[in-house]
Parts: sequence; C-alpha cells; structure tokens
Amino acid sequence: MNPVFRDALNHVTVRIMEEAAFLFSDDLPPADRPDADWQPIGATLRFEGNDQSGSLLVWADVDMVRSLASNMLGLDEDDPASGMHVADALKELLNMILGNVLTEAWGTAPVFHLGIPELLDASEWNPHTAARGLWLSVEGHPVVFWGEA
Amino acid sequence: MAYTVLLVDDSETIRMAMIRAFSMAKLPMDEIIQASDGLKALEILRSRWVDMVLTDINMPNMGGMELVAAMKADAELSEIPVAVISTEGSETRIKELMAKGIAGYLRKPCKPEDIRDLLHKTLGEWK
Repeated sequence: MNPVFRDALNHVTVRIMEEAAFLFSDDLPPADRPDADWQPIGATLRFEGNDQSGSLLVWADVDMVRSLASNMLGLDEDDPASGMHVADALKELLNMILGNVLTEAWGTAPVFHLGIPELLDASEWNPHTAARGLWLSVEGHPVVFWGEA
Repeated sequence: MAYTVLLVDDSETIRMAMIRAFSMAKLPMDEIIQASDGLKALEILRSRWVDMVLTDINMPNMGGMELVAAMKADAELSEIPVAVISTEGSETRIKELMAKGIAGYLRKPCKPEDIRDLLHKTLGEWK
C-alpha cells in the first residue's frame, strides 16, 4: 500500500466512523484478528486521478455493519429495516472514507474520480492479503481496510 | 413557509439518513422527494415543482455534475437552486461546480445543522 495513502487511511477511518455513525474504534491486535473461517461482508471502491489509481477495500463483521446501518438511520439494531440496509451502508461508509482519504493524502487541489462502490463476494476473503491492512475493533467487532494504491 | 426538496443519491441509506437529518434539524419541510440518479431527478423536475435540489456527484446513469449541467441548460429548470452533497473534497471540483451556478456544497458526512444552514441560506436568499 502506498505509504501516503496508508497514513491518510489511518487518520481518516476512525474519524469518519464516529462522525457518520457514532461508531468508536480501537486497534485490533494481530492475535485477535479472525482467520479464514470468518464470514465477513466486503466492498470495494475504485478511484483515479492525480496520476494515481487504485481502490479501497473493506471486510467487516456483519454485526458491525448492522450497527452501522442502524446508527446511520436512527433505528434499533433489531429493526428489520436495518438489516435491509447493511450492504448499502457498508458501501456508503467506504465512499465517505475514500473521499476523505484522498484529500488527506494529496490535498484539495487534485480532482479524483471515484467509481461506484461494489460488494465483494465472500469467497474473496483472504486473511493473508488482509494482514497488511488497517485492522480495527469497532464496538468489539473486527473490521479491516486496505488500499491497493 | 414549508419547502419541497428533491434528494438525489443512489444510496437509499444516505437518502433515509438525510431525511432523518431534516427532521433533526427541524426544517419546515412540505415534502422530500427522492431520486436515485440524475436521469430520474430530471424526470421529476419536469413534472412538478420543487424548491431546491440536493444531489450527490457519483451516481450511475447520470451523475451530479451532468444533472447540474442539464438543469442549467433548461430554461424551465435553470433557476431551481441546486446544492451538492458529496464525499469528494477537491477544491478544484467545488470551484468548477460553483462556476456552473450551484448554490452550495456540503461534504459527507455532514451534520443536521450544516444541512439546515444550507437550506436557510439558499432558500432564504432565493424565495
């Protein structure tokens, strides 16, 4: 991962989760990270501009994303409507984080073109690839972000 | 006076969160209409009156930049104020949008009071 992008991701991610959904995060030590049996939900978003291109990916525990959706919508976590918005909420979280990461990394002068967030197939989850990512414990649930930039 | 606002965003979650923000900000809303992209927004705008449009930039089919351009090129829509609410923070892009005549810009995630201030500023000056 580009070190500038990685630094920006570290600075921005925790803040955006707090501002967008009142979700608080801590670093997740390697010993507490899930293994290949984990059943997360994932999403990816591509960007290009300023002679850069790449993507931001996230894999998150489903319970964390349910909290994300319910907090964004002001609903109880057991409200069926929260469950209906899990995938969309994760994609929008990725959108908000990437938009803010790009200006954190390269300033406000460049114009970046963001794609449309897409869900990842669960079969693509790979703990070895994710080992290089930013691991967080969000309200006690594991989440990992990393950039291919 | 109550406002009719058209929200344009491909994320239903964001549209619902925005509607919640309108409520939290105690804005005098007559109706909040929703569209999932610029094309659907244009269909709505050509069929009924709205006081203001709030649009995202990155959407399938027709994005916010194209929506703003289409509205400004249409004599019947060109005076409707449009504000952009997006994750993008490029000053270059914001200046480009301002040059096209948008009424304001907010960056996601935004607070209910930011939305309230934007609507008050825009509709207070335009109505």
